[in-house]
Formats: sequence, C-alpha cells, structure tokens
Amino acid sequence: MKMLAFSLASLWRRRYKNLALFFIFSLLIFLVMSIFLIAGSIKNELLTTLKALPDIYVQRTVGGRLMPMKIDRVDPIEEMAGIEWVMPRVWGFYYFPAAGVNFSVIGVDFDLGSYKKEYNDAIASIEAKGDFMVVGEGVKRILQKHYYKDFFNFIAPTGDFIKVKLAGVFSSNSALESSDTILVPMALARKIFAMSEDEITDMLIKVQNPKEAPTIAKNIQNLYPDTRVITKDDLKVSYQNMFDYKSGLFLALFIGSFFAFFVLVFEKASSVGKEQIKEIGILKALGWRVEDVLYLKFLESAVVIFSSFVVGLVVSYFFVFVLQAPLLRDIFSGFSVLKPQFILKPFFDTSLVVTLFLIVVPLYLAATIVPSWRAAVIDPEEAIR
Amino acid sequence: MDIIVCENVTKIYGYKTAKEHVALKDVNLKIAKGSFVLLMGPSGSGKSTLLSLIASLLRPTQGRVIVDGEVVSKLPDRFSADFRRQKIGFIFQKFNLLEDLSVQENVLVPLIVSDESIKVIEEKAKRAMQRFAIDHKALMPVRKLSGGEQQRCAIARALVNDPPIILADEPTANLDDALARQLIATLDELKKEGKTIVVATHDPRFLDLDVDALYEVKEGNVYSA
Repeated sequence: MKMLAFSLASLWRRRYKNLALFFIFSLLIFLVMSIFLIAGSIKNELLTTLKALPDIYVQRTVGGRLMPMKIDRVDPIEEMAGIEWVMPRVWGFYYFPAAGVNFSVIGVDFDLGSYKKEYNDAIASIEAKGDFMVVGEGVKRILQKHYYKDFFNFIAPTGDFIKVKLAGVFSSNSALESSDTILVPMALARKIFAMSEDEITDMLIKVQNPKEAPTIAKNIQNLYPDTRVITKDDLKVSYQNMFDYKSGLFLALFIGSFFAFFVLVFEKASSVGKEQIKEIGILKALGWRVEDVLYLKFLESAVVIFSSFVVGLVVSYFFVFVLQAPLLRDIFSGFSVLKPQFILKPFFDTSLVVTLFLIVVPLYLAATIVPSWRAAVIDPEEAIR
Repeated sequence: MDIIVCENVTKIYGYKTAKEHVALKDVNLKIAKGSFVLLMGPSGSGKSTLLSLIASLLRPTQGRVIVDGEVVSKLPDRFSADFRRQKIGFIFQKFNLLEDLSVQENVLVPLIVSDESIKVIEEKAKRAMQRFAIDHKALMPVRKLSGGEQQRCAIARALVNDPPIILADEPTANLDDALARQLIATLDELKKEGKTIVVATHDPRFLDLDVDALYEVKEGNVYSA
C-alpha cells in the first residue's frame, strides 16, 4: 500500500506525460478492439445469412452472360429425387437515380409455401392484391427519405410508370442480405424488367439431404447443360471472400495501429531521462534496493497500462454495441450501395481479450522496467551526478 | 571504538579508460563513534568521494571501508541499501530532493521500503518535520520552498530513520549566513545526542565548533590537521 501510494504520487508528478501515454494506449486498444468487435459481429451476421441460403441456385448463361430461362424447366427439376422444393424467381437490379442506389427486385410466386418459409414468414400476413411490394428496411428508409410512403413508381424499360403499393416491410434473419431487397409478385417483376410471361431468371432449390446437394447439382447440370448450378458451399466461399476483402481493409488499419504501438513502446524502452536516472539514484542513496525501484516502476507502468486497457476495452464495447460503431462499420458493411441497417449484436470473446492483453501489457511492462533496471544497477552516487 | 575505518582506500573514476581520474589515493582513516569530524579541503580534493565511499554510494577501486564492523565496500546491492537505510543519514550539498513531491512525501521516502506500517512511518515523518521546523509546509512541493526550507527538509529526510551516522556534504554551501549557523548548531546538537557526524566542507565557520577531529583532504590524500 505504501509503495502503491508512492507510485501514484510519482505518476501524478509526471501527469502530463503519463496522461498522454494513457490516452494513446487507450486509443490504440480502443481502435484494435473495435476492429475485432465489428469484424466478429459482422461475421456472426454472415453466418446467419449462410444458414438461410438455399442449397442450390440455378441460373442460365449464354456466352457467359446471364439469360432468362423458361419456367417450364421447374417441373422436371422438381420431379428429381431428393428435391424438397423449387422456387422460381425473377430477379434483377433496379437503379433509383434520386438516391443513387440499386435495389434488388425479386419477383416470386407469393402462393408458394416454400417462399414463406425461406423468408422467415415475413410476408405471411400480406393480403394485398394487384401490384404491391414488400421492401427491406434499407429500402424503406431510402423511399421515405424521398417522400414515397405508400407507393413507389417504377419506370419500365418502355418508359411507362408502374405504380406499386408498399404493402409491408420485409424482415429476415440477416439484415445484411435483406436490407436492399424489394419483394414483388412475379408478374410485376416481369413488367419492371420487360420479360415475357413464361420467363424466370433463376431457381432456388432446397434438397432433402444437404450431403446430396453436389450430386443433385450435377444432375441438374446434365439435364440443362446451359445452366450454371451453384451449391451452398460455392456461395459460402463467395461470401467468405467478400468478408475477407472487407477484413483486409480493417487489417490494414490494425497493422497501422500496432506499428504505432510498437514505435511508442520502443521509444519508451530505449530511453530513460537524466532526471529519472537521478531520481533512481536518490532513491537508492536513501536505502532503496534495486528490487524496490523496479517494484515502484512496475506499479507505475501497471497503473498506466491496466487503466488504458480497461478504458480502451470498455469504450470499444460502448462504441461498437451501444453507438453501433459510427464511421468504422461503413468500411465493413453493405452488399450494395445501399447500406443495410443491421444491428451489431454484443458478444464477448474471452480469447480475443486475453490475446490482446498478453500482447500489449507484458510488452509494455517489460519495455518500461528494463531501462529502469539498467539505471538502478548504476552506483547511486554516479546516478545522482 | 572506531565506527568508520578506511583501509588503503583508492578511488579511480573511469578506471582503465582514457578518462581515468584518481579521486582518492591510498587513504587510511579511523573515526570514533559519537565524534564530530571535519573533512576540509578545496573543491575537487576528494571530500565528497570519501563520504560517498563511507555511505556505500560508491565502491572503492582498491582497499576497504568498514562501518560499524561491516565491510560495506564489498556488500551486495541489497545489503548496501539496507545498510544505508539503517545506519546512514546523508545530507547532500544540492539537497537531492524529489522536487515535485511534497515535503512530507520526501521525508517519507526512506521509510516507504521499511517494514513499518503507514501509521508508524507517518508519525516518524511528522516528528522529523517538527524537529526541523518544516512541518507547516508538509504538503507543499519542495520546489516551492526557499533554500533554507529545502535544506531543513533534506535534514529531516536524512534523520527520519534515526541513523547513528550522519554524513553531510558541503551542507552550508547553498545557505545564507543565518541559516548556515543554524545548521551548524543543529549538527552540534545531534553530536550531543551521540550521533557520529562527518562533515565535508571548506566553510571555516565549522572551526568554531569543538570538533573531535579535523582532516585535510588535498589532491586525493587525507592528512590529519
């Protein structure tokens, strides 16, 4: 207790330097921790997305370009062994120039039970007739911002206006996936994209046994050689690549932070001021042992680094999970120009905190104690002089 | 009984380097317990080095220093630190206070590493500050004190452990006449309490005291005067 009180007094004597160190370390720990927390939270969100994906996607390509296919291809696939359901879709991007964003318009058969199941029963209660749409939360925000509250006017490739009633807000397990989505009846989607009545863009397929998905995919490919059949595993790789790209940006930030940290530590490690050497000499002249001096320096450093670590940690949790990481989250999020309004859900990763602690704290303590030890083993008279 | 004995002590700074400087040459000295001893001589003669060797702040290049029956010149660090804390009260020429600490904190410094409780050491510090009339400035940072007050704080710190030996290096060098005489009187009083006092100085006012021994230090040699 005596030594702790003295070390606090000693810290207070050099308060400007110590406060600067405290703020720098808190900032670094906050930044690094925030990066990991955002990355972890988004990864959790993506895992949810992956769970919700269909087992197989079927598209048609001609010369490498995606082309519509006839809806009569659905029945033969549905009759294949191992298929639970097939969901035909008409899908495409619709550019909304006023906001400068692309919406993902998906035309589906609202009568299909499979569709309700796929989208978490989000549209189960929709009873609208005619041209209606159910939108993701991101779309709703954008439309409201541009004064579209009850309806929206699509402009068909022919130049005609198609007035569509806003029937509800779509929700899904994953906000990342659904934020920019507009669900419409298939007939309406065909009107928006100027497609003929017997055409679809793709099919989503659910198989009874996921292990059979590659075999079934191969069978579909054999049946319709002009199709591109994508399994859930292929999609997982695509999602992972996208996430890794975003993580890479964060990693660059992370390396920058740590480089700054190491420079700071090195600076601290390689220099003990003349005043400090003299102070250590005085302490030794007054009967302090080398270990007493080192204990004092340990306490001083520990107070700075522990308090920085705790403050950095707490502030990062507050910043990421309470404030929802303004600015930083934009680096990670968004499949399209339209940013999804997903919530960063709190989690606590013990291994992450322990790893960061073990990287930062012992290194800092060693970096501050070693030079003090070098000063403490000098004869007191020489140190004072 | 001799409390301090120097046997063939030589101190060479920068030994075996280009900057080699002989500070003390083959010094032999005996100081009796309870005596008041003056080491006089010009600046750079080796007085301060001799005091530092006695206090085990330095190690001799040759010879040995024995204090209270213990060969302090050969003590490992932890024992020499304990020796200084228990046996020596050192009054430095430039005070060597920790400038941003308060008077009370400075006086407490030697006691912090002792085994005594906070209550006991605070009581000791309070008594030392009262004795040297600096207790009214207990909470003031020492850098805000006058030279005389800083000197009193340094003496309180040197004596807070009640050491049997007091070593003072040019203690009047930074004081005005009145304060210098006050300090000399204080040291004389401490001698009467049975402390062994060794003062390195070239201040002739000390000659007014009834000292037990006077040594002249000249170019690293010590002569009995």
